[in-house]
Amino acid sequence: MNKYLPMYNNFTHDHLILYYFNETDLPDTVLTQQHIDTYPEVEEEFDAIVNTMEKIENALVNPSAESIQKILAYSKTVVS
Amino acid sequence: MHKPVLTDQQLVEMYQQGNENCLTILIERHQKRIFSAILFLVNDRETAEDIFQDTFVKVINTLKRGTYNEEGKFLPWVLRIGHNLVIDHFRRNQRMPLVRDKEDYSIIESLKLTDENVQDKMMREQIYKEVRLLVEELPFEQKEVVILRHFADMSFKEIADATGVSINTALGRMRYALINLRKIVETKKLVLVS
Repeated sequence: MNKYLPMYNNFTHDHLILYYFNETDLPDTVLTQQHIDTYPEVEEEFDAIVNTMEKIENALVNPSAESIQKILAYSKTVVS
Repeated sequence: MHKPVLTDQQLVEMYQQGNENCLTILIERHQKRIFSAILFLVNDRETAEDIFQDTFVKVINTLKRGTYNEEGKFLPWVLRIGHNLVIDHFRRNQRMPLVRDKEDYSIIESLKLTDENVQDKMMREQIYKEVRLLVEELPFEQKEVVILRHFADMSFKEIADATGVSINTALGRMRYALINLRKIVETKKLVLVS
């Protein structure tokens, strides 16, 4: 994956990343959405970002019950 | 009938007024993201448990002192505390992970080097294997930007300021994290439970 998607002038993967995280300004939001809607290759790249971030979400784990108990016990010892 | 869900801010305020149950709710609500973010960064369950506890010690002290002023941003605030404690941990142990910004850094080569360890790790719980294979193999600075952006909801500008790099560098790290994660998924043929 290169930074630039060569067939689209000045449109980069950074546009897709910023768009995914809601950090594009209005003109770039429109530009990015147009590219996703128009070019299957761009849509595929955007879907790959979405899927990758979803995989991270699916891999989250909980701390041990012991850690939680220690935290709650500590809290009760601290006076407001 | 629908039970109204208290916001983090409401829970924080009730906790500060002495309702200890509100801390339990806040932890139950966010423990997975906070703990996983720490675990991704330190790659060690025991260390992650310690830092998770230390994070909440700081959270509790700040809330009970009444100096919390992150209205509406409880989770990002806690994650920033956790991230800072991870950095402290590496500094204390003088084992700050090597920063690799070279574009030709090969995650696949890195995976080959750790194949033996992967065999051993298969003995552990399936879910930890999935976590490790997905994120643990990433260079630290790439994991860092994923966690700060995705979990802590910091903007790339905020990440750049917090980590002492330019916005373009922060964005580049995210881009290479995504490239490497895709390579890991393809190489390892990971199938994660949805």
